[in-house]
Amino acid sequence: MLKYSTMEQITEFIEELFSADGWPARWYCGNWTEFHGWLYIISDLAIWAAYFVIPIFLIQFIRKKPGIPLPTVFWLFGAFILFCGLTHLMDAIIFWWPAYRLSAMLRFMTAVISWVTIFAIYKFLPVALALRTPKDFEEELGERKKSESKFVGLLESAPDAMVIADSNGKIQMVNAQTERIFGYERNEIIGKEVEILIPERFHNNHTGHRNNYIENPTVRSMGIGMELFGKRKDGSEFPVEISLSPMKLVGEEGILVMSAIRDITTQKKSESKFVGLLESAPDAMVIADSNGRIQMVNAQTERIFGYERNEIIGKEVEILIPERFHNKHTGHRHGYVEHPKVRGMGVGMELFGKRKDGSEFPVEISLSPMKLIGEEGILVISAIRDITKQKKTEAEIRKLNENLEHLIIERTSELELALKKEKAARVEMNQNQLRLTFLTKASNKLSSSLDYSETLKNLADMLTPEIADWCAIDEIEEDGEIKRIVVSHVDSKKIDFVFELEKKYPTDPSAPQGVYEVVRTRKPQLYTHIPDEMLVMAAKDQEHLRILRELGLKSAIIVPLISRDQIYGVLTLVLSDSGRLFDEGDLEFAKELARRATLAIENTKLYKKMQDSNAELELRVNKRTIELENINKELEAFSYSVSHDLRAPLRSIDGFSNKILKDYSHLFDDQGKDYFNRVMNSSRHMGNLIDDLIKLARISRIDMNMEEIDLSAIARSIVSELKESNPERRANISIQDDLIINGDRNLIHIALQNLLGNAWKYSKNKPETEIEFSTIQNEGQIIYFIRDNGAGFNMRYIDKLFGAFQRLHSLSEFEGTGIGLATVQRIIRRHQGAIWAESEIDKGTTFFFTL
Amino acid sequence: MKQYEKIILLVEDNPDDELLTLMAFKDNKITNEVIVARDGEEALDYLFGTGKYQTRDLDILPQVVLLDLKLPKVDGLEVLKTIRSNPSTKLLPVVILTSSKEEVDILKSYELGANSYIRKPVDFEQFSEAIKQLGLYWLVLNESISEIVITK
Repeated sequence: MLKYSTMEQITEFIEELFSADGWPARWYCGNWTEFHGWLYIISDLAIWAAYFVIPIFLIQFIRKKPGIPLPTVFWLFGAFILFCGLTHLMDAIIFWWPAYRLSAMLRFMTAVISWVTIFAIYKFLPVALALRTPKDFEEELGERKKSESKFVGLLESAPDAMVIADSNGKIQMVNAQTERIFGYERNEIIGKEVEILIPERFHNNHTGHRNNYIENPTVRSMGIGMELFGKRKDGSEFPVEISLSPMKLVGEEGILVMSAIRDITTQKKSESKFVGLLESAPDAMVIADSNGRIQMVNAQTERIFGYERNEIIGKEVEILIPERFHNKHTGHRHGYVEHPKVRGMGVGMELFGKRKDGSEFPVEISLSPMKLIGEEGILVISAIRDITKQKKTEAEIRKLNENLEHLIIERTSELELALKKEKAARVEMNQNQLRLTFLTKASNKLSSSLDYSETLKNLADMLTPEIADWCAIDEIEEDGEIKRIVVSHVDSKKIDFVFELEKKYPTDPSAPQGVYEVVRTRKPQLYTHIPDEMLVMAAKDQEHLRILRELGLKSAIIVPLISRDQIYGVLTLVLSDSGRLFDEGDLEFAKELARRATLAIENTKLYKKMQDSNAELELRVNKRTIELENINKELEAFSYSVSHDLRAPLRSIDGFSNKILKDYSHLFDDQGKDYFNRVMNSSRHMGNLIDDLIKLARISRIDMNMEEIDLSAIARSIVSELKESNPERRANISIQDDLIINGDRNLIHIALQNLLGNAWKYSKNKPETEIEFSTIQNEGQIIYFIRDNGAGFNMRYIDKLFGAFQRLHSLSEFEGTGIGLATVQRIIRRHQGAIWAESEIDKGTTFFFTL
Repeated sequence: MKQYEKIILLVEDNPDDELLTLMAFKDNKITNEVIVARDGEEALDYLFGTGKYQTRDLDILPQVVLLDLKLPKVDGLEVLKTIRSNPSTKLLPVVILTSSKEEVDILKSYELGANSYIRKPVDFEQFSEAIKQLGLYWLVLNESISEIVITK
């Protein structure tokens, strides 16, 4: 039967499966009622429908919710339900189509599936148990959310910039500080590679380092020993410090790298400040650690040691010290680290530094410990100063000192010499000082008296004993004789002695020495030392010699008292007992003294002369005064009688002539009447003359009473009187205002009355009288003038103008006595003024006067 | 009250002046009685009833006294002084009529109580005019005490 292919076998199987032979349709199997039957069918159908829908829902669910745990179980479950439903469908179908084989198969499959499902569930039970409820999920979510926000909060509040990047370097999360210091908004950098925050030049290296870190993630600082920089959004860079820490998230692959980034600009600044200070220090600054390794040096170090800093940084500090000190130095170093304090190094010792080229130089070193924050151990800062110069200077100073000492010794001896000289000079100066003081005193004394003899006496008294032991002043009389007038002696007894000497043995006028010689030559003589031989020579006899010796003439100066070639006398100064001798200095002094004395003498003589002439003058003045007073008295008497007695007869003459003319006119012809008229006129005229004379006399006699008077006012009143006396006259009068002067009111009134009266009188023939009283200035002096437009006079007769009784017009022209101007002149003169006039005939006259 | 003529007492030593004065009075129609005293003593005799005027009725006093200064025996000023020091004549008008124009005279006269001081001009015309005015004033215008009886 090879003809049965698989295909036929399968077809047969399926035919078998689906055949309904051998069984009745369930309707026909048993006593099924309609109800009962249909309830069974509908229920089975319903169950199938439900068992058909449920899996559809399940499938939908699975499809829609991927990631659902245990999908296998679900699929099995679904299949199980489906097949279960199929069995029920079969049960319903069997009522008509009793394909029990199919139904059996279906049941069998359902059983298998359900047990597989159970098995699967059993297998996955723990997992299923572990599955949490939505509530659990929510709780967990909540927790998660809380810790997440805590984490975010921490991150945000971190003082450093926190950047969390994944293993590919992509920034996952940043905090606000990051935004601040880099200048980005977080969305701008999240998702980007972390290199965005790094300057371009580091990018390559950094990426490499990153990957390394992922391989070996540890909590550490980044880039130890290197300078790290961050780059801001605007491209500017800033120094940073970075710490890294890996972060593994639950349920995620790979790690996150959290980096804390700190902007260390300020740090760098203070660091640079420190470095700056160090660099600018005038001394070499070497900072070494506790092991003596040089950590840092400054430029000065480089300069004085001749190294470049990289050559010595890291090396032991002994590199800078001469070999022979190395051992000790290391020990000292350790000792210092044990007891670090700020102090000078090697006090009292000579310290040396060694340059790169091996040469040595003397140094001064100060040490100070430095503890850095956050670091172990201390650093030692040493300030090293090259004191080569100082040492040189010290040596020089020493040498100089030695020289100085030599010099000092030399100078001291010189000085001693000079001192001796100076002492001598000082003595001389003292002497001069004394002399000066004496001169001043002498001058004062000399000028204190104007009496001749007193002055000389004072002078002589002053001279002894200060200057000389005794002195004498000789005067030259008018007849040329020399008379000794004053002598002063230390020993007053000897004064008479000296006089006696003169008397007994008058000095030989012809002697070559002595007073007479001095008078002749008018030159002073100095006898520093008078030896006894000289005395012997000068002595006329033994007695004379004895006296001379007694007197004692050891040293003498004779000076003439001379002024302007006029010699008054001679001053003799003698030293006898004191042991001192006169010298040149004394001579000069004596000359000076003589000069002053002579002046004083001259003064006294002048004074006497003056007194004498004064006395004489006074006598004369007195005599004159008495004379004048007498004359005055006489004049007074004269004018009194004149005024009274002379007038009476005149009155008679006039009166009786008048009477005759009146009472006996019939007896006289015209001629006779004319004679009588003339007589009367004459007597009247004489009366006027007398009056005027009296006035004139009075002017001179009277005492002036000086006061401030207003010329303008006086003139005005006089003019108004004149106008009143001749009201018919046309007059143009101008008087300057406020002419105030100092004078006697009465006299000035008289003067102005005369002047203005004259002006009025002499212009009576003009149609309009013009009178001006004003002033002009000349060289600071005020000149008053009264101008009229009257008859004027011939300037030829100007000299006669002010003479008493002098007239330049006849009585028929203008009446007057000729006294007026004389009076005015006298008044003006009494006021220390002057008066003059200018005139032109028929034009007018101007009188000028000053007061 | 006694009615009597007003008397003028003229004290003048110069006879010329005396005559001239009287003539002047006449020319000016002054007809009053003029008593002339030729010196100070006579003047006082008249006024006080002494000497040659012993019998005079002293109730009768001159209307005015014209007194010259330069007088013999008793000086004009003396007379004035006496006049003024005597209660009976104290109030008598005295006119100094003199040649002098000396200030000192004028001063003294007034000091001693003269009522007036007139200078005699040389010019007779002027003199006459002065007399006329004098008369007019002292005899007519002026009220004198002579009209009042003074009880002794």
